[in-house]
Amino acid sequence: MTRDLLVLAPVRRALRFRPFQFLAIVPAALVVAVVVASTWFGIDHPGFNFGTVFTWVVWWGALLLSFVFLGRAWCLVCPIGAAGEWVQRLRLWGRSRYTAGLELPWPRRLRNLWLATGLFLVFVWLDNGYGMSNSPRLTAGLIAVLTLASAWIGLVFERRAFCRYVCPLTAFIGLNSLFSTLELRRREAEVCRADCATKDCYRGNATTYGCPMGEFPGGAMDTNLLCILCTECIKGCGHDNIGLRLRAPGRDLWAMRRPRADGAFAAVTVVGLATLIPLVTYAWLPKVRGLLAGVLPAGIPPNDPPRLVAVGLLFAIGLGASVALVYGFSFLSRRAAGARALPARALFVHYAYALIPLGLFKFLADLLDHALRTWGALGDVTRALLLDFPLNRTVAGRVTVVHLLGPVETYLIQILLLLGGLLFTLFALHRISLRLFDDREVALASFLPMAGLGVVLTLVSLWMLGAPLL
Amino acid sequence: MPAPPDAPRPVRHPALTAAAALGLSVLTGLVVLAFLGKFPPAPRDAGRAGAVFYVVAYHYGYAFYDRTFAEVAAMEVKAGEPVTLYIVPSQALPREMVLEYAERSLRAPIGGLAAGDPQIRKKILEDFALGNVEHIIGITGLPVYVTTNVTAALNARPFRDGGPATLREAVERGDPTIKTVTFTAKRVGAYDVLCVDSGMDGAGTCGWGHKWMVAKGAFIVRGQ
Repeated sequence: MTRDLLVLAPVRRALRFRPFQFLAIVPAALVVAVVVASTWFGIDHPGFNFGTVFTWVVWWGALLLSFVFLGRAWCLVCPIGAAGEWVQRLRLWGRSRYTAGLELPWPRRLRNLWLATGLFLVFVWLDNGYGMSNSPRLTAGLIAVLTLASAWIGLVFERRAFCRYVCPLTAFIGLNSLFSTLELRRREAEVCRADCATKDCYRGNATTYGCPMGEFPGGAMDTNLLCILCTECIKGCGHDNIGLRLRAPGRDLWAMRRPRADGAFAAVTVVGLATLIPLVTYAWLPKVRGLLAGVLPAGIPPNDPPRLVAVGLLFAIGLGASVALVYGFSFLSRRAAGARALPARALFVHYAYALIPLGLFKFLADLLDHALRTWGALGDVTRALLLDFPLNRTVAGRVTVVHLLGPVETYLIQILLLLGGLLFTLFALHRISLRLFDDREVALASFLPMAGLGVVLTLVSLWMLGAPLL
Repeated sequence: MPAPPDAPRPVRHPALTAAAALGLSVLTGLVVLAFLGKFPPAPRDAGRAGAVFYVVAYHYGYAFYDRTFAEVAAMEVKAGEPVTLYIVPSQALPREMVLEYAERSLRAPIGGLAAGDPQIRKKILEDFALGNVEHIIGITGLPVYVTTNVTAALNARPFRDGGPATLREAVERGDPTIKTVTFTAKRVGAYDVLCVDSGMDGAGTCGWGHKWMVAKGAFIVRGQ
């Protein structure tokens, strides 16, 4: 059941308006500029600095919510990705005759999500190990480094190579967007196959660019994984054959025709970061840090080498355990399905994507607790920012801590969220099993071990949410 | 089906590429310099002219001194006048002075305990023993946010050996535990001096009593 938003004339007109994306980026760019000024020049306190509160509470929360309803909508307005494109195109929205870019193709061996997944792990390690979200200066540094990387890569390589292959969030955003209730797709496959000789959605034409992510909306694009909703293909399609549709959530998880190993590994990483990795870190960090303190010089966190190394080690152990667990259950799934089954590796690749709702809903449950406690601070830091705009050097006074709900009520909602995630995962696993096996009994046999894995990971999340803080 | 015609590709222009690379190189260099601290991270305020005050932060309150080291109840400045505050943690001073300052905390109720309650003294000594000796001094509504750094001078002891004997000596000697902040107060009003909570949600503090280290309206900005 889908509904094409482009049949609505105002929506169609807006999305076909050439400067649409630029106009969407401008407000985001202004906010990011204020965040950078605030985090770089402003008060070096995470709870009093507008930039850190806005970035790690408001932006992060909005990003997670956007996955559910809007897919990669953040990428549409992201000024960091746009920086590379603007350098490359030398225009803010129009089709330019010249380019400043070298337009080199991205190296073939790196045309996957491995690099982006690795950088995402570094990103999370920087936060867990080095307290990036608790440091205004590191937050400013992160934005500066990403913007420069985007600009340099845009200058050297064609299209949005940074957004597709390098951005530390691209795998995280893309995979979670598979769950989204919004999708951009071709309307009629036959029109693209038989009637379209120019493939403008991929190649561009005299007035529009081809897909900046190197996707082929008129061809193989069957998921939200890499679609940044830039609307370039909507503008470029001469057959009016691109739709922007509302749909049931999670469809991509089971409808994906060609799941890939890099995406599956990234999915396991994202789910592991929400479930097993925090568990391992929670259980062993003090002990491992204590052991490492015997061989490494200790310091005051975040500049505490034993802690930094311990977090890195436990991340590696947690990630290894996540991959081993999913692979192990895939193996059980293969055994349960009998001789006709696919190899365990293939089942791993197919089923891994179905686990994404477990991770997404765990992140949302974490966010709920945070948002219910820290929302009051946003008013304080905004007031302080306005007193010394945009440098934000002013102390706001005490941080307002207002608990909107008690811990028990919060935990109940978190339980509901996790169970919701589990239901979506079970449904996706079931649909994938039916796609993989013609025989319904074999499909059920293959499904059951993976469903067991979903239950195990949900129990881990439930326990972690109720566990006392270290 | 005939091969689709290629879309007109934008023309590469070496001069444009070079100009963009140069611009990005400059930008990258500036960011690197900024991170290395070689590039001013923030606009600097005017020098140390104007009003000068010394703020001794103790467990759990403040003593304010004017330019002549005379103790004052509040710091008064004129709007638009540059102000320099010297923030001195009491632990920078000798043990007797630290305890003398701490005794002031017994004169008023604090943290739900009545004035003079022996629990207050116990809590202060506990804080010393735990090493909770630092403060984050802020003034509401003004660009004052200073984290003290006396731990290094204490050498893991609760009191300092061989430090300056008096506040004046500490200032004149340029004791490394003293932090300064210079700013211009533009808005007329009375502002609170406080020890800022740590942590994103304001839940953490440097120790038990720091939360109540608030000198209400102790920084006064008067009209010209």
